[in-house]
Amino acid sequence: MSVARLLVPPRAKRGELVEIRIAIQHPMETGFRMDNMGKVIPKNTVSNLVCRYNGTEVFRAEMGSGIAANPYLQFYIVARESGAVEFSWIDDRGEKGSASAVITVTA
Amino acid sequence: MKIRQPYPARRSVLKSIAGGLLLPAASPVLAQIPTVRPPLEQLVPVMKQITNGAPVRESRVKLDIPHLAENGHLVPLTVTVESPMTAADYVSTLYLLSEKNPRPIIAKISLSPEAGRAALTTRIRLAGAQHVVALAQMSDGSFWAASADVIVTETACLDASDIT
Repeated sequence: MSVARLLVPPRAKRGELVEIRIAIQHPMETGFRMDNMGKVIPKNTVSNLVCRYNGTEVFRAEMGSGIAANPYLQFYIVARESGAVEFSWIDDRGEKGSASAVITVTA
Repeated sequence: MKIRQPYPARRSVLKSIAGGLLLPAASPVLAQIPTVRPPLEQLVPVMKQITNGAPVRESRVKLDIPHLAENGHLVPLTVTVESPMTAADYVSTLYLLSEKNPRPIIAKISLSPEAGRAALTTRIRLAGAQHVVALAQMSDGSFWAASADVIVTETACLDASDIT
Protein backbone atom coordinates (compact mmCIF):
# COMPACT_ATOMS: atom_id res chain seq x y z
CA MET A 1 0.00 0.00 0.00
CA SER A 2 1.64 3.17 -1.10
CA VAL A 3 1.12 6.50 0.54
CA ALA A 4 0.05 9.56 -1.41
CA ARG A 5 -0.54 13.22 -0.78
CA LEU A 6 -3.50 14.63 -2.63
CA LEU A 7 -4.37 18.29 -2.91
CA VAL A 8 -7.87 19.16 -4.10
CA PRO A 9 -9.48 22.49 -3.20
CA PRO A 10 -12.31 21.73 -0.74
CA ARG A 11 -14.68 24.30 -2.24
CA ALA A 12 -15.16 25.61 -5.76
CA LYS A 13 -17.68 27.61 -7.74
CA ARG A 14 -19.66 25.76 -10.40
CA GLY A 15 -17.74 25.71 -13.65
CA GLU A 16 -14.52 26.78 -12.00
CA LEU A 17 -11.23 25.29 -13.15
CA VAL A 18 -9.64 23.54 -10.17
CA GLU A 19 -6.08 22.38 -9.85
CA ILE A 20 -5.53 18.79 -8.73
CA ARG A 21 -2.16 17.73 -7.40
CA ILE A 22 -1.05 14.29 -6.34
CA ALA A 23 2.30 12.99 -5.13
CA ILE A 24 2.66 9.26 -4.55
CA GLN A 25 5.39 7.83 -2.38
CA HIS A 26 6.96 5.27 -4.68
CA PRO A 27 10.58 4.47 -5.68
CA MET A 28 9.71 4.16 -9.42
CA GLU A 29 12.44 1.52 -9.75
CA THR A 30 13.82 1.67 -13.28
CA GLY A 31 14.96 -1.92 -13.67
CA PHE A 32 18.43 -0.73 -14.65
CA ARG A 33 19.85 -0.52 -11.15
CA MET A 34 21.65 -3.27 -9.28
CA ASP A 35 21.70 -4.06 -5.59
CA ASN A 36 24.97 -4.52 -3.67
CA MET A 37 25.07 -8.21 -4.67
CA GLY A 38 25.14 -7.26 -8.35
CA LYS A 39 21.61 -8.48 -8.91
CA VAL A 40 19.29 -6.39 -11.04
CA ILE A 41 16.53 -4.73 -9.05
CA PRO A 42 13.39 -5.49 -11.06
CA LYS A 43 11.48 -2.63 -12.66
CA ASN A 44 8.69 -1.41 -10.46
CA THR A 45 6.86 1.75 -11.42
CA VAL A 46 3.36 3.08 -10.89
CA SER A 47 2.33 1.93 -14.33
CA ASN A 48 -1.28 2.98 -14.32
CA LEU A 49 -3.04 5.75 -12.46
CA VAL A 50 -6.67 6.73 -12.92
CA CYS A 51 -8.53 9.75 -11.58
CA ARG A 52 -12.31 9.59 -11.37
CA TYR A 53 -14.54 12.55 -10.60
CA ASN A 54 -18.00 11.52 -9.47
CA GLY A 55 -17.40 8.10 -10.97
CA THR A 56 -16.34 9.23 -14.45
CA GLU A 57 -12.78 8.86 -15.56
CA VAL A 58 -11.25 12.27 -16.18
CA PHE A 59 -7.53 11.54 -16.20
CA ARG A 60 -5.31 8.53 -16.75
CA ALA A 61 -1.53 8.32 -16.64
CA GLU A 62 0.55 5.44 -17.91
CA MET A 63 3.99 5.97 -16.50
CA GLY A 64 7.31 4.20 -16.79
CA SER A 65 10.88 4.52 -15.64
CA GLY A 66 11.10 8.00 -17.16
CA ILE A 67 9.00 9.47 -14.38
CA ALA A 68 11.00 10.56 -11.35
CA ALA A 69 10.73 8.73 -8.03
CA ASN A 70 7.71 9.75 -5.96
CA PRO A 71 5.65 10.65 -9.04
CA TYR A 72 3.99 14.03 -8.95
CA LEU A 73 1.16 15.02 -11.25
CA GLN A 74 -0.67 18.30 -11.50
CA PHE A 75 -3.61 18.87 -13.80
CA TYR A 76 -7.04 20.51 -13.96
CA ILE A 77 -10.67 19.55 -13.83
CA VAL A 78 -13.84 21.61 -14.15
CA ALA A 79 -15.90 21.61 -10.96
CA ARG A 80 -19.43 20.70 -12.06
CA GLU A 81 -21.02 18.84 -9.16
CA SER A 82 -20.09 18.25 -5.54
CA GLY A 83 -18.50 14.89 -5.17
CA ALA A 84 -15.40 12.83 -4.79
CA VAL A 85 -12.15 13.03 -6.70
CA GLU A 86 -10.80 9.51 -6.47
CA PHE A 87 -7.41 8.24 -7.50
CA SER A 88 -6.44 4.62 -7.85
CA TRP A 89 -3.19 3.21 -9.13
CA ILE A 90 -1.31 -0.01 -9.52
CA ASP A 91 2.42 -0.68 -9.78
CA ASP A 92 4.34 -3.37 -11.67
CA ARG A 93 4.35 -5.63 -8.62
CA GLY A 94 0.57 -5.48 -8.52
CA GLU A 95 0.40 -3.33 -5.42
CA LYS A 96 -2.61 -1.07 -5.47
CA GLY A 97 -3.08 2.30 -3.92
CA SER A 98 -5.84 4.86 -3.69
CA ALA A 99 -6.55 8.34 -2.45
CA SER A 100 -9.65 10.48 -2.55
CA ALA A 101 -10.87 13.93 -1.61
CA VAL A 102 -14.26 15.59 -1.58
CA ILE A 103 -14.96 18.80 -3.42
CA THR A 104 -17.99 20.95 -2.55
CA VAL A 105 -19.35 22.93 -5.47
CA THR A 106 -21.33 26.08 -4.77
CA ALA A 107 -23.40 28.00 -7.27
CA MET B 1 26.77 83.55 -14.43
CA LYS B 2 25.93 80.15 -15.75
CA ILE B 3 28.61 77.48 -15.87
CA ARG B 4 28.04 74.81 -18.42
CA GLN B 5 27.95 71.42 -16.74
CA PRO B 6 29.88 68.90 -18.79
CA TYR B 7 28.20 65.88 -17.19
CA PRO B 8 24.73 65.82 -18.79
CA ALA B 9 26.26 66.19 -22.20
CA ARG B 10 28.73 63.41 -21.51
CA ARG B 11 25.97 61.19 -20.22
CA SER B 12 23.80 61.69 -23.22
CA VAL B 13 26.75 60.96 -25.49
CA LEU B 14 27.53 57.79 -23.54
CA LYS B 15 23.90 56.74 -23.67
CA SER B 16 23.69 57.17 -27.39
CA ILE B 17 26.93 55.20 -27.87
CA ALA B 18 25.75 52.45 -25.53
CA GLY B 19 22.37 52.28 -27.19
CA GLY B 20 23.93 52.13 -30.59
CA LEU B 21 26.38 49.42 -29.60
CA LEU B 22 24.40 47.20 -27.27
CA LEU B 23 21.05 46.88 -28.97
CA PRO B 24 22.22 45.48 -32.31
CA ALA B 25 24.77 43.36 -30.46
CA ALA B 26 22.15 41.85 -28.15
CA SER B 27 19.64 40.75 -30.76
CA PRO B 28 21.78 38.16 -32.65
CA VAL B 29 22.76 36.65 -29.29
CA LEU B 30 19.10 36.24 -28.39
CA ALA B 31 18.39 34.76 -31.80
CA GLN B 32 21.04 32.10 -31.21
CA ILE B 33 19.34 30.63 -28.13
CA PRO B 34 17.50 27.52 -29.38
CA THR B 35 13.84 27.44 -28.52
CA VAL B 36 12.10 24.83 -30.65
CA ARG B 37 14.14 22.45 -32.72
CA PRO B 38 12.81 19.48 -34.66
CA PRO B 39 13.30 16.20 -32.78
CA LEU B 40 16.28 14.14 -33.83
CA GLU B 41 16.24 10.85 -35.75
CA GLN B 42 16.14 8.61 -32.68
CA LEU B 43 12.61 9.74 -31.89
CA VAL B 44 11.22 9.52 -35.39
CA PRO B 45 10.38 5.75 -35.29
CA VAL B 46 8.76 6.14 -31.87
CA MET B 47 6.68 9.05 -33.06
CA LYS B 48 5.76 7.20 -36.24
CA GLN B 49 4.54 4.26 -34.17
CA ILE B 50 2.33 6.57 -32.12
CA THR B 51 1.03 8.68 -34.98
CA ASN B 52 0.77 5.82 -37.47
CA GLY B 53 2.44 8.01 -40.06
CA ALA B 54 0.12 10.98 -39.60
CA PRO B 55 1.77 14.41 -39.87
CA VAL B 56 2.88 16.13 -36.69
CA ARG B 57 2.60 19.89 -36.65
CA GLU B 58 4.69 22.14 -34.45
CA SER B 59 2.40 24.55 -32.69
CA ARG B 60 -0.40 24.61 -30.10
CA VAL B 61 1.78 22.66 -27.66
CA LYS B 62 3.95 24.48 -25.14
CA LEU B 63 6.66 22.61 -23.26
CA ASP B 64 8.14 24.34 -20.23
CA ILE B 65 11.30 22.62 -19.06
CA PRO B 66 14.50 24.13 -17.67
CA HIS B 67 17.16 24.59 -20.34
CA LEU B 68 19.78 23.44 -17.83
CA ALA B 69 18.90 20.64 -15.42
CA GLU B 70 21.44 20.06 -12.66
CA ASN B 71 20.06 16.65 -11.81
CA GLY B 72 18.64 14.22 -14.32
CA HIS B 73 16.82 12.28 -11.61
CA LEU B 74 14.27 15.00 -11.20
CA VAL B 75 13.49 17.46 -13.96
CA PRO B 76 10.25 19.42 -13.58
CA LEU B 77 8.23 20.02 -16.71
CA THR B 78 4.91 21.52 -17.73
CA VAL B 79 3.03 20.81 -20.93
CA THR B 80 0.20 23.08 -22.01
CA VAL B 81 -1.87 22.51 -25.13
CA GLU B 82 -4.04 25.16 -26.74
CA SER B 83 -7.47 23.55 -26.90
CA PRO B 84 -11.04 24.59 -26.11
CA MET B 85 -11.46 21.24 -24.24
CA THR B 86 -15.08 20.81 -25.29
CA ALA B 87 -16.72 17.46 -26.02
CA ALA B 88 -16.23 18.14 -29.74
CA ASP B 89 -12.64 19.32 -29.62
CA TYR B 90 -10.26 18.28 -26.88
CA VAL B 91 -6.82 16.83 -26.28
CA SER B 92 -7.29 13.10 -25.93
CA THR B 93 -3.73 11.91 -25.33
CA LEU B 94 -0.50 13.52 -24.30
CA TYR B 95 2.84 11.76 -24.77
CA LEU B 96 6.11 12.73 -23.17
CA LEU B 97 9.04 11.43 -25.20
CA SER B 98 12.72 11.33 -24.49
CA GLU B 99 15.44 11.03 -27.08
CA LYS B 100 18.07 9.28 -24.95
CA ASN B 101 16.25 7.40 -22.20
CA PRO B 102 16.31 3.60 -22.65
CA ARG B 103 12.51 3.70 -22.75
CA PRO B 104 11.65 6.63 -25.02
CA ILE B 105 8.03 6.97 -23.91
CA ILE B 106 8.21 8.69 -20.52
CA ALA B 107 4.47 8.83 -19.99
CA LYS B 108 1.17 8.56 -21.79
CA ILE B 109 -1.56 10.74 -20.35
CA SER B 110 -5.20 10.35 -21.33
CA LEU B 111 -7.36 13.41 -20.85
CA SER B 112 -11.08 14.00 -21.12
CA PRO B 113 -13.06 17.17 -21.90
CA GLU B 114 -13.81 17.35 -18.17
CA ALA B 115 -10.25 18.53 -17.64
CA GLY B 116 -11.18 22.01 -18.83
CA ARG B 117 -7.58 22.87 -19.53
CA ALA B 118 -5.04 20.65 -21.26
CA ALA B 119 -2.13 21.11 -18.91
CA LEU B 120 0.12 18.75 -17.02
CA THR B 121 2.98 19.28 -14.63
CA THR B 122 5.20 16.41 -13.56
CA ARG B 123 8.79 15.50 -12.83
CA ILE B 124 10.80 13.26 -15.14
CA ARG B 125 14.13 11.44 -15.30
CA LEU B 126 16.56 12.23 -18.10
CA ALA B 127 19.56 10.13 -19.09
CA GLY B 128 21.81 12.87 -20.39
CA ALA B 129 21.46 16.09 -22.35
CA GLN B 130 18.82 15.65 -25.03
CA HIS B 131 15.64 16.72 -26.71
CA VAL B 132 12.37 16.20 -24.88
CA VAL B 133 9.23 16.08 -26.97
CA ALA B 134 5.63 16.63 -25.91
CA LEU B 135 3.24 15.12 -28.44
CA ALA B 136 -0.48 15.79 -28.21
CA GLN B 137 -3.22 13.90 -29.99
CA MET B 138 -6.45 15.82 -30.44
CA SER B 139 -9.91 14.26 -30.41
CA ASP B 140 -10.04 14.67 -34.21
CA GLY B 141 -6.91 12.53 -34.52
CA SER B 142 -4.44 15.27 -35.44
CA PHE B 143 -1.02 15.46 -33.80
CA TRP B 144 0.78 18.49 -32.48
CA ALA B 145 4.17 18.63 -30.81
CA ALA B 146 6.74 20.78 -29.13
CA SER B 147 10.31 19.95 -28.31
CA ALA B 148 12.87 21.41 -25.97
CA ASP B 149 16.58 21.05 -25.56
CA VAL B 150 17.74 20.15 -22.05
CA ILE B 151 21.32 20.08 -20.85
CA VAL B 152 21.63 17.60 -17.98
CA THR B 153 24.76 17.96 -15.87
CA GLU B 154 24.26 14.89 -13.68
CA THR B 155 22.53 12.14 -15.60
CA ALA B 156 19.95 9.77 -14.15
CA CYS B 157 21.48 6.27 -13.98
CA LEU B 158 19.30 4.84 -16.70
CA ASP B 159 22.05 4.12 -19.16
CA ALA B 160 22.78 0.44 -18.39
CA SER B 161 21.32 -0.33 -21.79
CA ASP B 162 22.91 -3.82 -21.95
CA ILE B 163 20.42 -5.01 -19.33
CA THR B 164 17.17 -6.07 -20.87
